[in-house]
Amino acid sequence: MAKLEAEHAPLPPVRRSDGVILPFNKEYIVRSLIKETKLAEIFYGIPAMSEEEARKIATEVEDEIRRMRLKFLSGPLIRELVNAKLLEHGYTAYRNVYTRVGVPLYEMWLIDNAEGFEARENANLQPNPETFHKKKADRLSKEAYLLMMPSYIADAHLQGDIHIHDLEYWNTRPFCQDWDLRYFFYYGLMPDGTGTHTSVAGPAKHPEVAILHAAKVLGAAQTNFSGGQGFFNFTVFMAPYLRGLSDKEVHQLAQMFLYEMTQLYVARGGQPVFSSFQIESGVPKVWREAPVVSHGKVWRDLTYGDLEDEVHRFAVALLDEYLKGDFTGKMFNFPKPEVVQRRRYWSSSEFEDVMFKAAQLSAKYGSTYYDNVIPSYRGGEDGVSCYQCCAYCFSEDGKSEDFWKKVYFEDGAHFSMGGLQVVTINLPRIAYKAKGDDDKLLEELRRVMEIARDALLLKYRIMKRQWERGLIPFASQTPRGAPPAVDIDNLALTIGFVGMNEVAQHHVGCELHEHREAQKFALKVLIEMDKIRREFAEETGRNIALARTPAESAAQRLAVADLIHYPECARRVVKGDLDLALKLVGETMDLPIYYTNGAHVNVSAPIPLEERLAIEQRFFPILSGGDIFHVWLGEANPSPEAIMKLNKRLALNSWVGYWAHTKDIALCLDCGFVGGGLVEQCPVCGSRRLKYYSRITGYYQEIDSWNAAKRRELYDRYRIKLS
Amino acid sequence: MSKRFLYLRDILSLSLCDYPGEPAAVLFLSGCNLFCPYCQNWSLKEQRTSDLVDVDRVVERLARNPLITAVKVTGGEPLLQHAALQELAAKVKEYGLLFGVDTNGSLPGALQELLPYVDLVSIDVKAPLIPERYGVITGVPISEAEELVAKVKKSLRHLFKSRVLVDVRTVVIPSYTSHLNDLQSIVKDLEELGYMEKAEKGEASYTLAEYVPGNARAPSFRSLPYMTAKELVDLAKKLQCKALYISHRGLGYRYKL
Repeated sequence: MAKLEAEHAPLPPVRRSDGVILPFNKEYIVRSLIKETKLAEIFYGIPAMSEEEARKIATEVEDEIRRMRLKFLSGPLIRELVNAKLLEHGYTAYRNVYTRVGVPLYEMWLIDNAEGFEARENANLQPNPETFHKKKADRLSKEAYLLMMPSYIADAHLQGDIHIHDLEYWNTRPFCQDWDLRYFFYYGLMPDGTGTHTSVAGPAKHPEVAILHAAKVLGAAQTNFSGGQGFFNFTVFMAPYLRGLSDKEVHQLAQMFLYEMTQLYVARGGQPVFSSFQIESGVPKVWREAPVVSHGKVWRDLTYGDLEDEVHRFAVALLDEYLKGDFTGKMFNFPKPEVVQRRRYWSSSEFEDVMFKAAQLSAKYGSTYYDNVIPSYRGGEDGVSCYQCCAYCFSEDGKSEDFWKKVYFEDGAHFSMGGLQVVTINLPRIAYKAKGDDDKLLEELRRVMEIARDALLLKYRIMKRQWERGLIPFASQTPRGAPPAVDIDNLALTIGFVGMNEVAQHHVGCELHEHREAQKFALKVLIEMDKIRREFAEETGRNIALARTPAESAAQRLAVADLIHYPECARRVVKGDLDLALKLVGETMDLPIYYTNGAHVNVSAPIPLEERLAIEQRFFPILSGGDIFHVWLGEANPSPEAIMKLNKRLALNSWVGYWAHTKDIALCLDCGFVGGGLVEQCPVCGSRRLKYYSRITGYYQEIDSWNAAKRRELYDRYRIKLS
Repeated sequence: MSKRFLYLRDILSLSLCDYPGEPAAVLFLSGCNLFCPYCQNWSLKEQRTSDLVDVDRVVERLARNPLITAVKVTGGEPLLQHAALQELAAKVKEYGLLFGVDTNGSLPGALQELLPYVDLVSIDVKAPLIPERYGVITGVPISEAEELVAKVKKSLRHLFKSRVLVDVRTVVIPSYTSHLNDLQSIVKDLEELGYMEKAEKGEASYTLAEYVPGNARAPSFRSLPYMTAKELVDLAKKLQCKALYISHRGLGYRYKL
């Protein structure tokens, strides 16, 4: 009797999420199950649900709804009930693809109040209406993409064996790109990549337009990529537009570029474009005989070698403008100036001015990055190589036929250096699992690297598909029959890592700075990783790279994951404030603990700089995908002359391919003073209203916006002078 | 093998603001013959047996550092150990490094002997060179202050006649050495001792240094007011002196006036 009653009770109408109210009809469930479970075939190779199976589930769900005597039905609610039923029958994969991704209402509310989800994941994101929108989209996308990848990869990420970077853009965006400006100076600019939504500009004919095009290239590119955007050889490729200009005009153009790049507040979610560019003081050997490409043509009677004076003056002008800072005297934190180091720039007094201004900029704001192409592993004078954005390194060695076609811009051939995706390995966990056994360690290392490889190859397939369908239009543009702007097949698939120091600490029993054994061990692990990387590259024919990861959030996330999953081991090696973290664990994931980045020495190690250098420089030649050497300046007022001499030594006598001097900076809100040290009181006017800036992994940002782990790391840094 | 030992408390392996224009290692020697109440490094006053280090070991350590072009010795009063210092300087220079010394000027004899081995001397003039004033700022009884002032003057005279670079430094301490006439009196004495000729050759400078009250030895000196960069610049602008510099966190380590 009771059963009969349930069968005949009328069902409430359904409020659907597409905005209509319709009577309940179980056929909708049947149809949607058949349609949507096709995704299981695409993602995991499992055939879609049969109609028979679907109807059985739909019938059971209908019975369930009747039994529950619901007064209200909505599309999302029915879907939840179907999901529960799918799980009941063991259809896990179907449930994965049939589920909704979403955000609890409470979380939405927090996000609009600049709290909650990843409020401090990326220090370059300042709270504003655009950011809030991005956070919500990020939240949905991250959840969705984990469901769309094979579960062994998703699980490895969730459990903290690996960290998939920029997960919110997994299906849609490649990572980063260093652009070849000649392409736009020859073909012109269409910011949408197709010329249908934006106006199409011909190639720049005037210096101001060339500068604006350069800025807009990076702004447009940022809408297609998840990571940093930059220009290699910037001063060289700009030079043809500077002929005949006075120093004052060149300075004006340099200033214009810096303001454009820091005021285009349009990148994803309202942030300045994460940008960098190479400052060459002169014309590198490779480019001396190459024809100039600008004003829409390849010049027959002009080579870059003819423009050395313009290149030099532009380099000086850019550094002068950086040194001035903005209207309030604040530093330009983007684009990151990558000042190239070559033997010629140090051996001839002609370029002393650039080298000195670079050092002055380090002394004043710490902004300069030094891109050292002198060590042999960088390819020296015969190739093209650049460090960019988060300290990833891209190179072409100059041995191939293609290389010279690109140098000569034959049929529009040009350079396209960048990264497609980064996956970071949690190295310390590998040591925890190995329990001191060398063989086990290498076995586990290979297993995790294979997962990373699979993730990277999957990303490549997805990007290739999106690319071919024209869904990354700025990158795939082919104006007037040009070759595509970006060479999608050649972008690096990067395997990164964190915590080499902690692996050694767990496995060998001492940190990198404590004992030679730890250093030897780290080198052994790195060589093994590089061997595996090379195998992967040969097997797949893909450009797979090994790099230290900037790990702005990964260094924290992986340490926190291990504190939860491997508490005994992790407690002994994580860096930061463990006591506070243990108190807060369970309440928040934003804990003040971290693993040491890449193969760096513990930031708090009380060892002199030359010892840190001796340890870390040995890793650079193996980490051809990128590394950085940090000099943390504790001094309020380092002497520029002294920094310049130090730079000369690092450039000519070390293996370091990339370094920066980090100065902690206080900005006085009352008098505008900008200066060194985390001082409590403004040294100029005595005010206590100060904001603080320092370098977080690879760029400068206000310290307030850092996550708890990075703020703690700042506190832990051992400065070269305690004053 | 060297038989010389130094009382050396600490080595800062790289400093970018202690030797003008050079990345330098800084050696903190212990032991001092004065009792300055404003001293920041007063923990270096006493020599401990644990400070003793073989000169050769220090040299070895400095020679291994690929980042430095100079060595700066400070303290304490380094010249109390001038014999060992001389040996250190001679050996360090064999590695092509520049060598600089800080001194309070109270040991002109030792200074004279060391001069052939050094490239730079930073010498303190802590107050107007008048016994009453010098006694207060160095914690020396008035009975000895007269002799002290004479020695400082003698040191300055040696320096201005030598070939080394000389930086004369006065820490501007509010209400002690922050009056214009104090500084004018110092400059006048410097000129009488030969500063101008040396400065004209580009070999001497006079630096007014910011006083950071926090770590002073005497508690009463810790609570002195703080002088902003602007106040120091205003003061310095009224001072007529060749090659005048300011060292202040708000301006830079060597701000040319």
